[in-house]
Amino acid sequence: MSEHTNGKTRPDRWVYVKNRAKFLPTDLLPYADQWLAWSADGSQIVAHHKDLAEVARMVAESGLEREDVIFDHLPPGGEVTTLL
Amino acid sequence: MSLRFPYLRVAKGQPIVTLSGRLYRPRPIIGVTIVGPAGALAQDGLLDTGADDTLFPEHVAALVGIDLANAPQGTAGGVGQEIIPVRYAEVTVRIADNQEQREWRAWVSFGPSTRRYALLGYAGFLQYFTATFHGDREEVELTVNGQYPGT
Repeated sequence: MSEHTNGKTRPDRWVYVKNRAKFLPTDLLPYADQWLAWSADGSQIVAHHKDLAEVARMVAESGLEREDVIFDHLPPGGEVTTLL
Repeated sequence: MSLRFPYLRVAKGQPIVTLSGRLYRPRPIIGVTIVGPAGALAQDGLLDTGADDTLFPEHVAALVGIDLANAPQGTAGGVGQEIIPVRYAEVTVRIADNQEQREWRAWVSFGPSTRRYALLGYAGFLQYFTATFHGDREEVELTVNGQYPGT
């Protein structure tokens, strides 16, 4: 962790990546076609809903700021292999 | 100084033939924050050297207070994907690693949420950085270049 210029603690991306990797595609299937808000350390899904605004509202209700989480939109079919 | 980001490891749950049986796909995906009049929102963005523009979901624009009603319009497409309508707006983009934070103004596009990640393409993003992709370490290094307009 380190400090933001505004004094807030900056989430450690390396920890986020390590924790996110523990989620298998099957774990995320229930959230297909929904917006998710991941905790800053990637260890849990703080909120989820089809409507991004509703997820933001739920995040605020839980006492977090929008920048304290990572928003993620899961495709309707869940995680897929992509050819870019 | 450079910003260093680990690739996001996307678990697949089964061995990946093209990666010698590895169980995850490493992708050059970094955290990116978009800042508008009504606040900021962080999401994951794919560093895409094949993308002309930088693309965010249009729902994000509304949430950070960017009005796209009268924004310039265009279209965008990708390999195997249909052409989608996009709108353009100037926003503040922010990235940070554990050591350094960068923030700049850029014209980006907003389109339907058909992709999982924001696309960090040339215009508005990669044009301002020298990007080094360390495939072996699954890390990407971004160094601001002479065109970088931000702080």
